[in-house]
Amino acid sequence: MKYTELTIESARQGMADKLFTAVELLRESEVRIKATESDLKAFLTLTPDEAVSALGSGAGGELAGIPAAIKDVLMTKDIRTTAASKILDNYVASYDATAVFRLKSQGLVLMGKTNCDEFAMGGSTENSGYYPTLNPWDLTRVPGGSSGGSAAAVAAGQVLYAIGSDTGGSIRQPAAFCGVVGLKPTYGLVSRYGLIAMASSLDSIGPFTRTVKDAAIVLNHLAGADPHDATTSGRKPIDYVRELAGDVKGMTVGLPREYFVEGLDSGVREVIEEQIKILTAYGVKLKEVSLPHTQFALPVYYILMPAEVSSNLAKFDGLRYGQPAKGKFKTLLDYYQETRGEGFGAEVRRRVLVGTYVLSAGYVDEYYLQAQKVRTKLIEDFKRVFTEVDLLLTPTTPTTAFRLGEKMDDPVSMYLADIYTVSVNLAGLPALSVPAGLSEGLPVGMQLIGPRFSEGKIMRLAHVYEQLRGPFPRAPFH
Amino acid sequence: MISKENIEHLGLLARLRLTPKEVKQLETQVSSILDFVSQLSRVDTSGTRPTYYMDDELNVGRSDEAVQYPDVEGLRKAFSKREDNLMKSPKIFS
Repeated sequence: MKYTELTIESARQGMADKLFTAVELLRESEVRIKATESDLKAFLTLTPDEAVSALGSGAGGELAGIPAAIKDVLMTKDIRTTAASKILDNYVASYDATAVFRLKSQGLVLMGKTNCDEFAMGGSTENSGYYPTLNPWDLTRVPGGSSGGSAAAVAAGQVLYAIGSDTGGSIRQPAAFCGVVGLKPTYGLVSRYGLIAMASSLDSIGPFTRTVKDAAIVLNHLAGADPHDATTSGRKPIDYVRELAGDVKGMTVGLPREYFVEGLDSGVREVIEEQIKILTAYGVKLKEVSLPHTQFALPVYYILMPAEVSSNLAKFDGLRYGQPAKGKFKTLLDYYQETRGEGFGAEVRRRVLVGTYVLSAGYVDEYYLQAQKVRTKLIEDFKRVFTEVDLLLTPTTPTTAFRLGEKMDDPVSMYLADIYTVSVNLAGLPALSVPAGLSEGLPVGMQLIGPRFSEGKIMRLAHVYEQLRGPFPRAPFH
Repeated sequence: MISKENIEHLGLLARLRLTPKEVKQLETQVSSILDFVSQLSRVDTSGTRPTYYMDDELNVGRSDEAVQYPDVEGLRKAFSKREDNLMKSPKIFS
């Protein structure tokens, strides 16, 4: 079997059947990265020694021998960790994020740290402080973001799975743009300890994989309570692979009418409607539902997220964290202003300023408090709808991958790419994007959203859907 | 809607040095973002409580025990300037 056709599941089987060894898989991954990376630019740091020593340690585990990549917003002990920001250019993490630690205990073979928008702020990886990652389906287009490097690395067959983070769509949107599976878990299911925080009430960590079953395998090793993150849930662990087994006939899936409106690309709509027919023919029941506050989700997000950004990024001041600006400074204030002015890119500076504004005396009630109240309304919409249906089905994004540079001058138009994904973060829900077809040669993602902690149910439906859909084509790249 | 002086003041509050060109760009961009988010004022939220936490995980506690951090030297290595075990900062009072 070709390396680029493997999944975690088939690679494990191949090693068990002695068709190939972990060392051969690692070599294949290195060769693939070497052949594609100069075009794709999915990585910020390659970690060949780390991968070799993981194999050398002989440690077992369900992910042993499987080449993987991790978004550069997660701390990896003794490895450069930049959050794609120049301010952290030389930063070496002093500990592992809990997610990384847990994957290591399962034999993580880390090929490198992937590119993303700076501090995960953006929807295209064009805001990376280093270089944009390109879409393996079309090198003139963006892979989405912010976890674009992780999505592209999986789509181009460099690694078999990758980890990303999702604050407003940063796993699901690039998964949709690159034609891979992307799962954003329930807020509180996966520890955020060691994630360089963007917006602490919205951030979640999850996997990019080629199949839903692989996502279940990885989630099994990410989920669980962590004393280092008080927002993690103490619920009993679930085996998500076993959860895939149940039936979905008779399951009721809601189609929120606010998601199928003007602004949705006709090609994307066609693909999604076609897939809905496949599910109905199988025996899934459909129901049109309404989430009336949907139109306010983006404005809520673009108040709360910058507010949290402005406080979370205060620590990058050239003292506690971050590379100081060069030169002599008369005052500490000068030192801070120069360091942060020089170290942060344009989008980060913009969000820090907006956050500072909406939190400042005189405006905090008008913006921040009102946004937190409308957030409650959004949560209530979902709660009501989930008394009527099991899951919701929507397009993941209103369009397929856009061209590089297309939205860079107009922040608000870039923000609109997250229109179908942000509500989920505001309500702390789980959601998954699964490849649903192609429109003009580019992948379209279908999003399934469920109530809190319903990952099992979401992946069960997505798993059944994958069998009905059949194999998804690979990116036509090299 | 937002003035040059506003942007400069925010730059000071947020500890960001902004060039005059950037202040001009940000005037337009921040105004358009604030215009966009201002539509929230249309939502009637009387009687609605703000969301600060997800509802099902309240009052998570842990025992108040001091634990030695396993790799203090690893943290010190990240100091931008260092003298022995101390971090060096520029003068605070001039």
